[in-house]
Amino acid sequence: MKELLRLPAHRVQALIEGGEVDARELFLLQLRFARFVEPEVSSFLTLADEEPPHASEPQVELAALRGNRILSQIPVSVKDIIATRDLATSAGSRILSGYVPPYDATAVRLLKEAGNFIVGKTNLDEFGMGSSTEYSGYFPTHNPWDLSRVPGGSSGGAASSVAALQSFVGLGSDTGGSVRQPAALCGVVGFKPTYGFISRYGLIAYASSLDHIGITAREVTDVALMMNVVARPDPLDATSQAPPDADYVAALDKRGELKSAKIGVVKELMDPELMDSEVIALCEDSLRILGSAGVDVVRVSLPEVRHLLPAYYILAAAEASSNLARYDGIRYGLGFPADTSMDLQKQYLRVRVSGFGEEVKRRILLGTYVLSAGYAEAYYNQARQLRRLVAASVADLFSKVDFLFSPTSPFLAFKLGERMDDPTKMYACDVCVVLANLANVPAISLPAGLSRSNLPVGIQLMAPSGEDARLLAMGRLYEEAAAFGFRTPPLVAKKLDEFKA
Amino acid sequence: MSEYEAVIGLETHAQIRTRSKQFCRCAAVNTREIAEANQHICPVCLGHPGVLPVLNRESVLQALALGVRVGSEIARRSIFARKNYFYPDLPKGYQITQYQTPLLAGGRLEYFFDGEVRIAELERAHLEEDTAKIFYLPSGEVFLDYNRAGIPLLEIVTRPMFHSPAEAVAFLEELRLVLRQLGISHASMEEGNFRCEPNVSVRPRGSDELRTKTEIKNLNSYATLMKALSYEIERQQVVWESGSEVAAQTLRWDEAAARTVPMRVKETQADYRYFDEPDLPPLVVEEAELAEARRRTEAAGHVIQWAGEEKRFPSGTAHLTAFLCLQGGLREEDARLLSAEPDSLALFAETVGLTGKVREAANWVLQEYRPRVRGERGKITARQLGDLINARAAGEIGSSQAKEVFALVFGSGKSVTEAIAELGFDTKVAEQELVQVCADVIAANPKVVADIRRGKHAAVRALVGGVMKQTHGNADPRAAEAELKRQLEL
Ligand SMILES: [Zn+2]
Repeated sequence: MKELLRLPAHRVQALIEGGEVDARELFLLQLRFARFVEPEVSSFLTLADEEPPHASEPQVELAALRGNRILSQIPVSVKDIIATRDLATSAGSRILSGYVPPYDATAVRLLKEAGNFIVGKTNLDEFGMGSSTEYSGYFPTHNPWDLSRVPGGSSGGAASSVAALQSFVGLGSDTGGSVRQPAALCGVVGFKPTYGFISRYGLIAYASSLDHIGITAREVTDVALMMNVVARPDPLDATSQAPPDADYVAALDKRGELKSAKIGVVKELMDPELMDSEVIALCEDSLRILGSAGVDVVRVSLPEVRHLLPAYYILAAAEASSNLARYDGIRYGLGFPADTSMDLQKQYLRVRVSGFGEEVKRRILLGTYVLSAGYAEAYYNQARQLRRLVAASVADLFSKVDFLFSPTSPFLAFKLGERMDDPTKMYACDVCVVLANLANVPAISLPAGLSRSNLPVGIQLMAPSGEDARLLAMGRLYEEAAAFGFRTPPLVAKKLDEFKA
Repeated sequence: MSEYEAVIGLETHAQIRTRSKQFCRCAAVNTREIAEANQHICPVCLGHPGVLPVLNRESVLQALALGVRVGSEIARRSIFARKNYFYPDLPKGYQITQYQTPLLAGGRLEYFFDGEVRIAELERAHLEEDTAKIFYLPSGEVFLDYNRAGIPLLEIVTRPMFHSPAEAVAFLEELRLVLRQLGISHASMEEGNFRCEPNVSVRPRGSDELRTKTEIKNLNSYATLMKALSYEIERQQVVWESGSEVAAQTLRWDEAAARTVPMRVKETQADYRYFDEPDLPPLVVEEAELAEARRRTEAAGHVIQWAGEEKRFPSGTAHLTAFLCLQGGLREEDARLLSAEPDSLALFAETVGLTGKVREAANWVLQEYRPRVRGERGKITARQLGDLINARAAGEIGSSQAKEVFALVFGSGKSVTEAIAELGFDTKVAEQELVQVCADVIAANPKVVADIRRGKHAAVRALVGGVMKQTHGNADPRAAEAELKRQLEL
C-alpha cells in the first residue's frame, strides 16, 4: 500500500472512489510516512495528530453544485501562513508562537468541506519573506533531492512535503514567486492563480496587493482538482473575483486546441548573464518539446525586467511594514507578563525585537522608509508607477502571444547558508517569478528535468489575467509532451523502501 | 474690542448608526448603550492575522445622505487608505480611513447665529473606523474594550471660518441636529459618539491672513470646548502681542489647571505613512445608493402646514428658524427650540393650522407640552390644543384655568369641553363677565371703595361678597379679588 504515496493525487483519488483504498487508512499511512521522513527534510512546523481529524464527509452539495470533479479525501499540507482553526499557525514567526487561530481560512474551510485531510502546517520563511526557507523563525527545511541544499522559498515546506511524499498536494502562498520557485527547486508543480481567484481570507498578510494563495502538486491535474475546490468567490475577501462557474479540470480536456498556441520566450529572462547555463539548457529542451508538440515558439522582449526586483521589493516591504504592525503582543501571540513600570514604547520593542527575525525587521524598516514623508514620492510612488508600466507591457505582449515563457528560478537549488548573508543575492532568486505578481497574471512552474548534478529545474508559463484554466491546460499539454511525470527524489525513495507501513 | 480675531476650524467625528461595524459583522453597539466589555468582537475587528475588511454599505448610505443634504461633491469612486501608527487602541496598527479621495468634498451647512443665517463651508467628509476604548486604572494597569473598535465613523472637516467659540458651538449644534434628524448618528458629545477637535489661530482684525494654528484634542462637552477655545485664543493673542510666534502644536485641555497644554511631541509630529488600502477595492457609489440617499434626505426634512399651504424645509434648524422668526414673529430662541424637535414642531405647526395663533401655539408647546413629553409622543393632539387655545381666546376660561385644563387633557384623551366641564369651569363666570360684574359692584358701593382708598384694604372682602352674590356664587373668589384690586389699582 505504501507505494500509493508516490502517486499524484488524482490517481489516488480514483482508487479511493473506486473503493480500492480507504481514505482514512491512506491518511494514517501518509501521516506516519511524513513523520518518518521529517527528521531528514523538516517540512513541517506542525504535524496533525495520529488520529485522523474528524473530517466531514465530502459535502455532496459542494460537488453537486459545481457538477465538477473536485479534490476530495486527499491528505493535503497547508503552509503555516494560512489560518487553520484549532491548529497552531505561526507564519514561521516567533512573534506568533502559540497562536491558534479562532477561524479557518476560506481555502482551508473549502478543502475540509470537500472531505480532505490536513496532514500538517508546512515550514516557510518568516511571513513569507525569503526564497530559501532559511529565514523560518524555527528551523530550515532541506531539499529532498539534496539535503545540504535549500528547497527554495518561501513555501519551501509545501514543495518539500509534496516532493518527499509527505502530502499529495499543498496550499502555499505566493507574493513574489513563493510557490513557484520552491516547486521548481523541488521538482514539483507550483501554481499561482490570477489575483483574487483564491480568497485571501485567512492568508496572513505579507504584501496584500501581491499576496496569493497558490497550489503545490505533483501533476497539473491535481492543481485543477484543487482549483475546483478553492477558487470560489468569497464575501469575506473584498478583492475576491473568482468566476463562479469555472471548471479547471474540464478545461484540461481542451488542451488539444492549444497546439496552435503561440508562446513568447522572454529573452531578458533567458540571459546567460543572469541565468545558470544548465537552467537555460533545460529550458531550451522544454521549448523544443513544446515546438514538437506543435506550439509556435517566438522570442519577445520585456525591457522592464531590470526594474522588476526594485519595484517588487519596495512595494512588498511597504505593505509589509503596515501589515506587520498588528503584532504588538497585546491580543495574541508572543506576549510578556504585564509590567506597569514599562512605558508603551518599551513594551512594543520588547515584543517586536525578540519576536521578529532579521529579514522581517529589514523589510519593515525598508517599508517604513519608502513610505515616509519625503521619501514616498521617490520610492513607493515610483514603484507603483513601475508596476503599472510592467503590467501594461505584459498586457501588450499578450496581445501578440498566448503565453509567456521563462525559467522559474535563475539557478539550481543552492547550499544552505550560501546566500543567507547577502540579501541582494537572495532577492535575485525572484527575478523571473515576481513578474506575474506585479502584472497580476496567473503563472505555473513545471518540472523540466534534472541537472547533471541531479537537481530539478522548472520552467514557468504565464497567461493573461483570468486565463487560469487555459494556463493549466497548456501546462498539462507540456507535461504530457515532456513525459517527465513526477519523480520521487532518490533519498525519499530509499526512505520509502525502509518504511514499514 | 480686541484688535485680534480668532479663526476656528472644526474636525468632528460622528459614530454612524448602523447595525454592524464598518468592516466586519459584529454588532455596532453605540457608546450610548451599555454593553459588557469585549462582547462585540471578532477576528476582524481584533486585527487577527489573516483577516480582511469588508465594507459596510449602510455606512456609505448614511454618509451619502449628509452629502446630499449639504450639497457636497460626491466622489463616485473613492479610495480607502491606511493611516499607520502604533497605539494599543488600534488593533491593526493602522486605521482604515480615506485620505486623498474622500467620499464627500465641499458642501455648505447653514446655521443660525447672532440673529442671522450663516453658511459654514465644509472641506470634506469621509468614512473611517473607530478605535478601541482604553481604561487607565490608578494602579497603572490599562484595560481595553474592543466593542468600539471598528464602529463606523464619519469625519467631517470644516474650513477655518468661525470667529468665536460661541459661533463654533452654534455650528456644531446645527451639525449635530442635522446628523440626528437624518438618522446618521446619535451625535451626542456627552455619550462619546460625537467628538470635536477644533483648530484655532488668531490674526489682526481685518486681515485675511491665516496664521499658525494649534489643534486641541480631548474635548468631551460643549462647555470644555468653549473654555478651551477661549483660553487658547487669549493665549495666542498674548503670544503675538509679546512679539513671539505661536508654535504649530497639538494641545489638550487640562480641566484641572483650566488651560491648554501641549501633547508630547511624539504624538504630534506623526508621519502616518498613508497609502491606498490594498484590501479594499475603490468604493464605487451606485446610482441606486445615491437615489436612496436622496430619499432619506428628503424624508428627514420638515413639512409643515402653514396658512393652508404645505411648507418644506431641510433638516436642521436654520431655514425653519429663519422662517418662524420672520413669518411667524417668534422669538429666535423659541423658533430654534421648535425646529430642533420634530415632535414639538409637528404639534406646533398643526395647532397653528387649526387656530392661526402662532405665538400662543408656540407658548403652549414650549412651556407646557415640551417639559411634559420627554420623548414620549402623542399625549396631546393638535385638535385638543387648538380647542384649548380657542377656549382661552374666547374668554371661556381664565389663564390659570387653561393650564389646569391642559394638565387634565394631557395624556387622558379627554376633549377640552369634557375637561372644562369636569373641572367645573363651564359653570363659573368667565373672565369677561367677571370684569363687568366687578365694575358694577365697585360702582354700586362708593362707601366701601372710599374705605378702601383710606387704607382699609380688608374692605375688598365686602366687594368680593358682592360679586359672589351677583354671580350666584359662580365666580372664583380669588379671581374676583384679583380683578377688583386691578380695577381699583391696588
Ligand atoms: Zn468584528
